[in-house]
Amino acid sequence: MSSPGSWYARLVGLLPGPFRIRHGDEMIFAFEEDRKRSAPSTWRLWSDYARTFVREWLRALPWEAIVILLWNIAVLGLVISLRDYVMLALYALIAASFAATPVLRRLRQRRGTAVFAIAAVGCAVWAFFVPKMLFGLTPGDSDWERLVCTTQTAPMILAIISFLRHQPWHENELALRNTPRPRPEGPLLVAPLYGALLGMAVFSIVLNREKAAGAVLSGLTAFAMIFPLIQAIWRREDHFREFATIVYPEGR
Amino acid sequence: MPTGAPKEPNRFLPLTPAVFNILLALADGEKHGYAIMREVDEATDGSVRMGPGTLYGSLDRMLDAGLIAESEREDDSKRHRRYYRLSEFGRRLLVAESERLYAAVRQARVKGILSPA
Repeated sequence: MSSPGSWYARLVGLLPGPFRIRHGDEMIFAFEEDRKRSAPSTWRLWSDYARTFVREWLRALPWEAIVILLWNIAVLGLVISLRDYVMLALYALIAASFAATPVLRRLRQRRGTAVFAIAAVGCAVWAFFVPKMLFGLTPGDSDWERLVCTTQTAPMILAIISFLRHQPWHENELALRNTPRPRPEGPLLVAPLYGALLGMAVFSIVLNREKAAGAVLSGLTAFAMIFPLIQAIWRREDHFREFATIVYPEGR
Repeated sequence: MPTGAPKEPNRFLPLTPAVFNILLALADGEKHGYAIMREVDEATDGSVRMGPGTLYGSLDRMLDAGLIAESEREDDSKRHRRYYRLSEFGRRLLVAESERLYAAVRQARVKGILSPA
């Protein structure tokens, strides 16, 4: 059975990259020493970790992602009693808009503006037009449908702001240029996801099977939501080190 | 770290217990993270016990706010560590918070809540 220390080390690995790289080793060291020295309360240590996890991820996420998430939760609250497919669509949009910013930013870091722009356009197509094509939602059909369509405009504007704000013409330009081009696993892993999302549009038009398409779309977007976490665990050393080099070019 | 116009310490008061105790632990010289944690624990008889996450999260924010500065070197056991020290602004803030707390203690004595020193 794994010791508490090894579990703690694994959990520290789930903290945001820059924070983990800066403090991860010291946190594990402090945890082990604290346990050896005074047998501290397990509850105190785990609650400390839980608070740190939430706080540091909130600090690490772009503010746009947090606003998009809160916006969509609010919208979901408004339309919770609508038909199933609307709920599925909103669930999909919540998951996707939450996942979009960090995933797109990672793409931009790895392959540059061109790939990032293509992915952003793909995401925009999905967020704007798939609900329309999939569920026939068009502004003006009804008050509820207009609400669903128009409320997605604000998150997309935020996503565009995020896209512009994180472009390399800002202060990270030099760091990006000086960073050796990483191995291409990241984009290759992400590309099928966006391809699948775009393919859903075609799928829904050709087959016109709204409910099945909605279910598949939900599954894909759930995957999109957890994708950054899967990638972080799977390739965390490369990914976190690269991310830290970009964010903290003077660091290790 | 923000620079430019001098910052007014009173705008940052009151400090959180974690920030105040970290500043206090650094008052007599630079320390690495775990040494800060131990000193706070011992100085407060265990009444303020910071976990690793709280400690390093606070240190990050204090660095951003310019309360402390850091340097990296090896310790006695050849372990590579980050050491933290008070900045000039951090010291002024610590003085301001200590005076604020001292004024509260004096008031408690006047009211008979605490016995005279």
